Amino acid sequence: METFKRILLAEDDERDVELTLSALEECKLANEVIVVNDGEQALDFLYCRGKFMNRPNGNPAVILLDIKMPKVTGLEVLRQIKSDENLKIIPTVILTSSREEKDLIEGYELGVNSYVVKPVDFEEFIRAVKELGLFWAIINEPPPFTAKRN
Amino acid sequence: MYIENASPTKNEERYKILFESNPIPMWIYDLDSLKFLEVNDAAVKKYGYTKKEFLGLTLKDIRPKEDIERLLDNINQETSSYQWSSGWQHIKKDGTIIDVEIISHEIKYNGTNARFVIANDITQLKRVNENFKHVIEASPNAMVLTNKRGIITLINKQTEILFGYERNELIGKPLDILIPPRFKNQHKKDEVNYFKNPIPRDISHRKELYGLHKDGSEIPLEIGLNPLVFNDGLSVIASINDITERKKTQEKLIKAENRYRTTIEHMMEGFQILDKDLRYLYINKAAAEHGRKSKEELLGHTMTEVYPGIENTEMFSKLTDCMKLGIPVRMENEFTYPGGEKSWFLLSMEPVPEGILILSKDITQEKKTDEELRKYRNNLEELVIKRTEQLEQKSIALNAALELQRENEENLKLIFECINDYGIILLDIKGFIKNWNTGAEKLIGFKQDEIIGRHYSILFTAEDLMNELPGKELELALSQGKVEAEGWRIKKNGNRFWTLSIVNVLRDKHGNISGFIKIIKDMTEKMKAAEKLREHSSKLEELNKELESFSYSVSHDLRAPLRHIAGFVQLLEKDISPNLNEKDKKYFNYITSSVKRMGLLIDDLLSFSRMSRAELNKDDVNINELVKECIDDLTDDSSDRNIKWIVGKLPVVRGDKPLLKQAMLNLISNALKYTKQKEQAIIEIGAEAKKNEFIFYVKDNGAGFDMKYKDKLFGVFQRLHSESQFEGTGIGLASVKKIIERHGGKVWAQGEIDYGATFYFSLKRKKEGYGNI
Repeated sequence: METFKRILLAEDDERDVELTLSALEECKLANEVIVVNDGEQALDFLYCRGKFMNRPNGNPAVILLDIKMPKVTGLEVLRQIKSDENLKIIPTVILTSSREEKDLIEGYELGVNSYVVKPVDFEEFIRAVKELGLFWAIINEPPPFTAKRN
Repeated sequence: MYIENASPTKNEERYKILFESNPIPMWIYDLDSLKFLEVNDAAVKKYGYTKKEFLGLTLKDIRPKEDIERLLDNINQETSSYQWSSGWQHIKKDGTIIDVEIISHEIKYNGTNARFVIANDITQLKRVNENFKHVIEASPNAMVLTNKRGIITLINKQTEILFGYERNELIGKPLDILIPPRFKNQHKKDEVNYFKNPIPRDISHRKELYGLHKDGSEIPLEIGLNPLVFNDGLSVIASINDITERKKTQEKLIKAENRYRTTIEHMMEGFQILDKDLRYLYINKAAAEHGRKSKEELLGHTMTEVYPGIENTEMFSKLTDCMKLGIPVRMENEFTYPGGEKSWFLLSMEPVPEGILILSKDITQEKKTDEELRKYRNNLEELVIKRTEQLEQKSIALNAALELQRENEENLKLIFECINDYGIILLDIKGFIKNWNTGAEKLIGFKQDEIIGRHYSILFTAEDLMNELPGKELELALSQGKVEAEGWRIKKNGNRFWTLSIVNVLRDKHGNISGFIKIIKDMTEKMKAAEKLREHSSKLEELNKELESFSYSVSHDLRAPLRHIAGFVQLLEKDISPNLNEKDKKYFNYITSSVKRMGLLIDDLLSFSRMSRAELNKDDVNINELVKECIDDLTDDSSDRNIKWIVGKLPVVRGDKPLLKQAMLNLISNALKYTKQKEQAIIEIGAEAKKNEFIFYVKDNGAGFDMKYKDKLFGVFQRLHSESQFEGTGIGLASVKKIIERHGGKVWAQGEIDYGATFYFSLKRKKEGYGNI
């Protein structure tokens, strides 16, 4: 499976998108970030359909999923990813403002690779993202960082 | 005799006299002509011929004709010398024949060869001899005649039969032939001895005698001996009796006697014979056992010697009576042994020639059984009497009960009428209403006279009637005896009411089903209350769900704006920080720390609400391990501090481990927090076992608190110290309280400002006394 060296970020709140991107930038993560605003778009992207029909082939290097999203929630996207033979190998991280136990449990049951509770403190958030980034960025020898908004 | 040599005249004369006067017949006959030449008077007398007639006869004429040939032979063979012969017979003139013994001499008579004959008539002697033989022959015993040399000379027919020999096989044989080899030597000696002193004797009494049969078998004999003197000397006649049969009979008798003896010896009854002085003569085993003495102790001794004092007993007097009067006595006797022990015997005494015979039978066991039976019978009689009394009492009680029942029936009627809260309806077997109390009247609205005789299905709803519920209910009552049901019923005015009803089968006094009793209670109010309760609880459930989704929203939606504020403020600050003065920076810090605190508050509040809602997953929780985990979790941060931990032995309790850990974490972290200004922090954790619970405590030597405010300690967001003194949201102890209370325990605290605080909580023991520390 060809790996498409990009980060897929699914987040409906533009402020969170901004902050996440800032944090990723702060961490000097070289991968390209593709942002989608709900679960449906995330799945469209992964399955190259809808407006992503003509996107280049390949899976993202990592998926960052918010839980609370319109239309299709982050957990539903996760369930889809982890039940698909082609997608389930993609490292998937849940980014959430919730510490709610049931979300945590469900996430882990569905096979999430990592789970980050977005802290109120932005510095902490950057730290958390950095820890996340180490996980996959080092392995994939990322190309020069370019952030791209779609 | 040489007559020629005598003086012819004188001698002739002398011999003539001798010849003529001799009482024995004599004659001289011519050897050639056999003519009688001379014959004496005795011969004339004996043979009946005159002298003249005699002299005209020859020797042949006095012989039986059949003898003549033998006579002639004999004469020719005769020598001139003396001759004795017997076995001859002569015929007298009258024709009678006599047996004769002949002695003859050859002589010269008047110049001719002649023979001088003396003829002795032995007819008489021969007859005696014959008679002897006949007597012997006729004897029923075997008779054996033996001569001095031990040779058998005569036997009889019985001897042949007894020994199995023919007569000629024995005559002339030594007697030895009839003696068994083992006795032969002895017999020789006996024979010699006998001849030394030959007198008649019976030799059987001395020893057992045996004869030897021809076939080699031995025959037991009885023998009598008699000496007999014959011509040739002493003979012995033995009279022999076969005693085989007698022996057998004797043996049988001995055997029989032995058998009786053994039987008596071994029989279960005691058997004793005493002489007239009451001396023990014979005693069998059982009798000795009955007397508990050995035979040696008894035999030869008198009864009074052996059992002193026995002469004073009834048994003894009966015994002497029996002997004196010669009348058998039978009695039961309780015999007292010298040791004082007692046994019962059935005694049978009988006079016998020797004295008295006593038969005894041990009947102690029978007596005991009899006694028990008697007791049992007496008990039974008592029991019967008692039972009869009881029955009488019962019948009195029964009458009273009947009276009571009548009263009860009256009372029941009253109750039936007076019960207002319950409807009591009596139905016949088909479900028609027979009676109806005021309770039913009040409940349903029909008066008695309106309802009696109608079917009780009138009380059911249309829907229940469609389902044929009334019939089913009665059927069920018939099969089960009782039916309980709840459901809607209809009042007279058409209103529904919720009833609880019980239908019971009624039976008449013969046990036959006579109908039903239905008791109904109006449960409408209760039903409504229950419905309300259900509504409440479902509302509560809804509320809970709402609360859950509320806190969910809170956790997401309330935190998101905070995060945004914090994030962008920080980004902003970073962008413009070179241009900021100290005051601006301080403001930025305020914004940031406020946001952070708001976040903390939200987190704590959420965790508190989660604690209240989460289900308890109870398990055995080892508090020792739990405290160790807590200390390990907490001491990383305070490793630079000087803390003395005192942890006592802690029990195992039943509870939700994560929640209990949370509580313990909160208490220990509190203790750490409030001791941070102490140079030497001392934190003590322990427990005390009470009967039904454990009391845990976490004690510190920290800042302490004023007991005035002890009630505020456990309130949500209640704090006794400022945030700047000790950080915190005021949710920790509230959580502890929540957790402990959810486990059925209590929390409390003691403290003094600057002298530390002790926080207590109690947890139930799994079982009373379970899990000792």
